Amino acid sequence: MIEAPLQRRAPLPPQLTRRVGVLSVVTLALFGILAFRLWYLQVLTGPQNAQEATANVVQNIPTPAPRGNILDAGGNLLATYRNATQVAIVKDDLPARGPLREALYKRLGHVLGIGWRTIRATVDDQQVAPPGYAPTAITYISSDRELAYLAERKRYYPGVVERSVPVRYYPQRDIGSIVLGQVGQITGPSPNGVRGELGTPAFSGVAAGSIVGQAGLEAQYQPYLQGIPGQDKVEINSSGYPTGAQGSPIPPTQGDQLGTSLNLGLEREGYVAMREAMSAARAIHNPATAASFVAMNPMTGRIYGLGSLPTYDANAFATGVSTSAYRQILDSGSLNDRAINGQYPTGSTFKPITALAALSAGVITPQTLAGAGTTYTVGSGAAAQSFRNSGGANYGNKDLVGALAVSEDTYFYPLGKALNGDGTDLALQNQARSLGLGSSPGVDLPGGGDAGVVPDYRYVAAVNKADWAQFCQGPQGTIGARPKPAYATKQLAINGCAQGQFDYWTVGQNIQLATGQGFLLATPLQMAVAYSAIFNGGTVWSPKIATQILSPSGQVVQQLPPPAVADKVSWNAADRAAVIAGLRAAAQGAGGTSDAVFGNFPRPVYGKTGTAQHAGQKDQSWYVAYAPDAKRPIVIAVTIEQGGFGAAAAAPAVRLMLSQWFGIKKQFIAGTNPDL
Amino acid sequence: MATNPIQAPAQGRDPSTLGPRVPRLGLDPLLTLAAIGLGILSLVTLDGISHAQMVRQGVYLGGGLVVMLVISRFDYSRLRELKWGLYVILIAAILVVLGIGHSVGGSTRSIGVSVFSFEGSEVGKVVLIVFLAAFVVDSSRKTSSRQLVARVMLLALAPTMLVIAEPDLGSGLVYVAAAFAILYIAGVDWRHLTAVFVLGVAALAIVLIVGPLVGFHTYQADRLTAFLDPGAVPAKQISKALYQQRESVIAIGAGQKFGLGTVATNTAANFVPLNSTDFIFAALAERFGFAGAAFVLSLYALIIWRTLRIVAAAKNLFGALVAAGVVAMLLFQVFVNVGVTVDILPVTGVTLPLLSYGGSSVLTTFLALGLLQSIYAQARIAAGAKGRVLSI
Repeated sequence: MIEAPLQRRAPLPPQLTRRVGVLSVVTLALFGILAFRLWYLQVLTGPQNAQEATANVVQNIPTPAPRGNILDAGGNLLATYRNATQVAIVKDDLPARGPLREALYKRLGHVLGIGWRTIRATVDDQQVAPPGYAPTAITYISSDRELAYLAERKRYYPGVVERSVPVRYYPQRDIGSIVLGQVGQITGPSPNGVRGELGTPAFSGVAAGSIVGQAGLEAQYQPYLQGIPGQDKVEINSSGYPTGAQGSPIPPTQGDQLGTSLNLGLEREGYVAMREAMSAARAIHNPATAASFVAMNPMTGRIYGLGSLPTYDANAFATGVSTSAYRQILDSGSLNDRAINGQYPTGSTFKPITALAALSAGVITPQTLAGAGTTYTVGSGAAAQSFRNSGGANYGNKDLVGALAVSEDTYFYPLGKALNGDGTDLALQNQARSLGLGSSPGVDLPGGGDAGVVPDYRYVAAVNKADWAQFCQGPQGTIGARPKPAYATKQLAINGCAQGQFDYWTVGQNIQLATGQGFLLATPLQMAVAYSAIFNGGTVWSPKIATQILSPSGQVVQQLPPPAVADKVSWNAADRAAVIAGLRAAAQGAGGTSDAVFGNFPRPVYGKTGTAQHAGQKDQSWYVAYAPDAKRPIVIAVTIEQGGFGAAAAAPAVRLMLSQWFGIKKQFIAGTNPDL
Repeated sequence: MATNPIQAPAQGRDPSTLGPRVPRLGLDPLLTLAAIGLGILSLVTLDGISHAQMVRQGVYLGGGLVVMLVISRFDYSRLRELKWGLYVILIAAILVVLGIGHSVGGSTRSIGVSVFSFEGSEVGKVVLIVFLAAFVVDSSRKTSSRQLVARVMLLALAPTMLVIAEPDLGSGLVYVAAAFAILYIAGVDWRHLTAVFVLGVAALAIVLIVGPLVGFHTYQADRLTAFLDPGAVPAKQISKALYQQRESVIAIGAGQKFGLGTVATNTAANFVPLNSTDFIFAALAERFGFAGAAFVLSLYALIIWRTLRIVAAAKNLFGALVAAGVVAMLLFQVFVNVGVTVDILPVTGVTLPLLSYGGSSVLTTFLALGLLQSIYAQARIAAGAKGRVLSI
């Protein structure tokens, strides 16, 4: 054998042939094992495997149930559902994690007009994601063009499916949206340890990825409205798309309907009236930034209408809201239900409560004459405090009816002083509290409505202490203490710390409370409840919106508990009659503060204007009214932030709503009475 | 030879007249046909899964064929001189990948890096085979059998440990298998090889079985435990690997004798994860049944048979050892990959040569095939120069 020098160094080993032979035998054995195993799987047990495989491609896909309708008292639809085309992602069918999947997200995001990272975050959100073979909702398609585009290019969108799903629909759009609330995907535990809704009692049995009620009536009555998801048994074809239903799908069960005592006509008119009042206020240079109203039956405690402006289209949340759209709604303040959570000084609408407290305490009788002069002064020398009638008017001495009619501040200021006693007398506060102020009304909305504040010496002391801790260095009460550096430039802090306290309970505070000013805070709902109690003889309601649960076909399934009696107040009959007469005179008596608005109204109206003052802002317009009726008595409270005098904005809005309620021709008539 | 009457007249013939009968550079026709056949089957199977992947695989296969043709035109023997350079490049590439991978941070390894790491360990198979073959050729005369085994194993273990750390267990095992095959064909004492094998198994047992007992968990250990005893490992950790194999077996079985054809939905509908890469055999077996699966195995057997012939016929030891390494690589990958899909081996993460979707896997296989073709061609030339007809 002749070999090149390189090869000569390493000759082929002598046993090469034998070892190659051994390798051949090993190869043969390994291939034999594989072939035998394949024979076993495919030929011997193939039929069983084929059966299992068929079962394998039929998947149960949960189909969302339509939420139950929300109805007004007359059966009109406040919330229902519509079918929308949803783009969803079936995670199991996506390309492998990595560039391919990312590219798919980008293509899809481009078509749908959403960021690809949003898609990724939605799909990867492990807390709320459904099982891998079930679709995760991405967004809803609004145009047929997008739908056609995706349908024609299914091959390039593996794992992307379109399906028709029921979504919440609010036919009244932005009317009453704050009462109806919102729906959204159920929240899971968040990374920072917040538990979320998933698995909590209110959401028991609700699967991850479901749409649930998250505010308003939608949240309050979530278990009734939710419905039961169905199951589609679907065969998946080679592209990952359902080829058509197999077996018998289990249809979803729509949630039960929620009957309410709301009146759609009044609800709509409430929004129209508030908007008209706001534009009227703006015409006379009041910014009128927000408004709210509550209408209820004073005899039963049922809510007829409840609204808040600014508002938003409730449908914005039904198909998922983009971050920017959500931010816009949030920034507008629309998500704040001012009717139950807006806490304000009430201005003169508080005066009937002061009157009742003074009458009950024996400070006055209905016939007591008082109030002459333009100014009421307490204290003397340097400690003297003066309180003026609005506009510096002098109404002369009046009895209670006359004082309520013209809203004579100088009549009520002395009552505040008298009811203050030695500074720890709480007669006025107790009257207000017994009428529901200072505690949550417990309406059937999440939170039950804010409590507000009925101030007394203890409250002011607590505020004082808190302010001290926040603003000043040194223990409380140290005269001359220095403000904390962060507040050193604020005059309030400098003064408060220097004098040893910020504010303290004085007789002046009680005098302010007597006219609904000072630290007093109450919501429109609380004022409606308080006035209801005055007119129904002392029953303080914990009002209710929902009345009953109906099946989807309309059968009554369950009567919900009626409004509960929160408190029962009793007055001397003559005292109560005098206050009611005063409210009638204010609304429809000659010289009454809102006579200009209601003087020509063809039905009796009892109402009180209020003009609450806020430092640095225009006055807040209030009106609370009662209109008797054998079957449908009504109390309405309206307030308009920075809307000006009560008679100028809130009262005309109430007139529009009463006109709607009693079927009277609507007229917007603004008064000019400068009542405080 | 004298007894052969046909060859007798050729003895005196002028060598130049042998030109047409012994082409200067040829390709092993069976090897080439089997490779092309597997490539076509890969495309057909992928078309049922993802059109886009099929198109890309077509490009990879085409490119791979060109690479094979180009390499077959060179004399592989020249690579021997470059062995240390190749080894340094191999280690450096793996180290760089590991370094970048760590700097980006464990699980959040960026896409670009993970693609690169994959390619590094995959192409590294061929690079390591060439290096080990060259090393054995150059030192077999100077060193004893025992020393040779120890040195080769140490040299192979360095890149093996590095790619297992990536983690790419499959490629690491291929490295070890190739080293064994090269030493075996080089003629070392089989008892030394057996000793190393026993040592290796013991080491693996420590990592996979004793490790978990003292709280050192690896996903490979979990997979192995899951495979051996499905009840022993918490469902969360094993579910993925077990699920893959259960679905794979169902899909393969559903193919029965002649396959479901285009209505094969289990693999295509992604019930079997990785249906275009590690589990493509399941998709193929579901679609074409036992007939198709057996045909594919036959093509692989054909390739390995041809490669073993090339081992025996190589013009020099270097060629024989390179071919032996390639035999080990192909045989290991085919047996382990198919063994995983038919659930007789735990999930390892080894691609099926030429069938699995993926540029680096295809390229690596064609690099190996190109070397084989070169060894084949050189053997024919050498035989021609010696005036004998090589019958391979």
